[in-house]
Amino acid sequence: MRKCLLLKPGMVEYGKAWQLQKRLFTARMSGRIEDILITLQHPPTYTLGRRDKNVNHFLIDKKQLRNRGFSIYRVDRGGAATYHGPGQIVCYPIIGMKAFTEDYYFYLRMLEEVMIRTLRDYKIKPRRIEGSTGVWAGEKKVGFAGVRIVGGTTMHGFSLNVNNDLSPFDMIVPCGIKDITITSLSKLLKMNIDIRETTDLIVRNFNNVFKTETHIASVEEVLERIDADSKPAQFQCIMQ
Amino acid sequence: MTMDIIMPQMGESVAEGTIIHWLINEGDRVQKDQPIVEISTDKVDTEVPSPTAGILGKIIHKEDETVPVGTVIATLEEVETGQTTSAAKEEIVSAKEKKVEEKAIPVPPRSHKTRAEGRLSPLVKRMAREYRIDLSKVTGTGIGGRITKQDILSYTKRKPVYALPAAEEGTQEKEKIVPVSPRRKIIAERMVESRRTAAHVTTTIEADMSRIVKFREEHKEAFFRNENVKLTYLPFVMLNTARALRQHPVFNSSWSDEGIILKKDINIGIAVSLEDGLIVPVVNSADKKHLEELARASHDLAQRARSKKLKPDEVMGGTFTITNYGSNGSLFGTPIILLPQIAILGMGTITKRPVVINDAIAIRSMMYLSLSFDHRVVDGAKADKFLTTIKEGLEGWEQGLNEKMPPAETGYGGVW
Repeated sequence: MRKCLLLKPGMVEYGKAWQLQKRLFTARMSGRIEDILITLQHPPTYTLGRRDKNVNHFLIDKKQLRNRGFSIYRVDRGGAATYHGPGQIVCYPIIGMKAFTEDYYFYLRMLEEVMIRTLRDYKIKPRRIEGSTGVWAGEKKVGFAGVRIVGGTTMHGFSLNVNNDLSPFDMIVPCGIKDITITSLSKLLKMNIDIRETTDLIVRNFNNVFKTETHIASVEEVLERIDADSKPAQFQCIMQ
Repeated sequence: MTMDIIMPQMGESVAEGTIIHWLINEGDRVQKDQPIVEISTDKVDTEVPSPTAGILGKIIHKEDETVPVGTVIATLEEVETGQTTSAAKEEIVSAKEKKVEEKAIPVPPRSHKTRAEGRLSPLVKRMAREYRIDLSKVTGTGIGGRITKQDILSYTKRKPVYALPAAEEGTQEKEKIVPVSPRRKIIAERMVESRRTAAHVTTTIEADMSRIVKFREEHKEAFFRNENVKLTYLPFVMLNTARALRQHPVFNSSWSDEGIILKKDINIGIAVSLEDGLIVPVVNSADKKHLEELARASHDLAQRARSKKLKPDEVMGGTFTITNYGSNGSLFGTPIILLPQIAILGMGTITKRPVVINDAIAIRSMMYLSLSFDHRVVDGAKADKFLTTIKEGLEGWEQGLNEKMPPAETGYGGVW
């Protein structure tokens, strides 16, 4: 079993979480820390990938959205526009991917698998659509994925709609797919779901898919550890 | 040499990628592994690292262009490290020209040699004799292809000179290039990096190991029976080093621009030599383990290092290193510090030597201990005190196998 730290900081502003991700990503890349899984929620936020810079993913004016309290970020992950908000589980695995696979897209399939198993736990029949990353129930999309991988280290990750308000998705072209319908766990089950329970299921399924053993840790202690060892741990070879 | 930078294959199912951002410009110098370009697919963002140190030649595909996997997106001119950009560029150009030149001018045929020799100056003849150069292999640049002094000098720079005639006569190749393993390359980089960064000083002290030799002789068989582990001298040195590190915490630290970072945990790396290099697995919290545990841990790590079964985190997080070159018979060495640590202890071989004790000559089992330390962090006096603490611990050995050090909390001397 590979050890994997589990961070559950709760509700975190997107920009703050992004900064945290970047720090952990750099630390993971230089081997100063083990694999990490962050699960959290974001206040209402739109994020855009960096491709298709000239495509407008918004159906209404961005200024209006900002006035209504939505944050908008263009971030360093693959994929197009998406929405995060309270009631949606967001997971950021910051891991050395090469221990699991060399294929970036197989890694995405693994992330999908975590969501698929979680949906199955709720007796929902999930499916993949060939050539379109994400998890679907029937014709509706419920799980999303977009990542950044450099030198085998991953950041960003996946999000699963649990009981979030879905109307903000109507203001964008989610994932660059027109006429897409978005759904959530609670909408599919027609009942309110406790997001903490879903989070636990996701963590369990993550451990099963990635053959890891998560250990809960606090953000503070992890950052402290990184700072204490501010010089990168190097591949340790010496010569007499 | 020109290399191609290609759109990488990010997965079996992905056919193309989009160039998001060139992180460097044409003509800019890059280090090996430095990110050159950010690329993105429908779901993945990544960076392409430079395959080697060099200068970015031409950017073939600009930002926002989407190209199939395997497409050449830029060219890279490989260079040796350590030059400024413009100088390095010139170097490439001249190197290229040189190559062309060499190719264009055919090796003079044998008959040509006699003709050429007739026109040689006495100086060139003497130099050729002294350097044992076959003049038929030297390209003349003087008037009418005449070989000049300069030609001889540049020829000797290119080709190593073999002083022994025997080496000259052989018809086989005089050099052979052996490909280098990735581990070897990493070691090479780390060693040079350490030498360049740390201010290396090595100090040596002699320890009388007689007590430990006796103790080991008495216990090794029982230990092997019980533990199936050979009791070597390494755990004894580890134990006393861990103890000394508690008393001298500055040797358990890293240098940083903000200050010296003292490490709470004492994690001792042990150098294990492999077929193609060395690896340093780490015994964590060595100061909290007794001799038996240290013997078991170091044996287990060394075994698995040799069978290539170490886990990645087992070679990380070391705060101090011990290298036992004594097992190969070396008396003492000047080991290179493993960054970001600040010191490394080398164990020499234990041999019986005549030593003077109370004005009488006695035969004792002696060992040289060498400590290489970073003079940026500590000075010689401190290093010698640290070594003396280790020496005193070894010489005053009278512990049982299972005795542990007192926990750090009792104020044994650690300050953090």
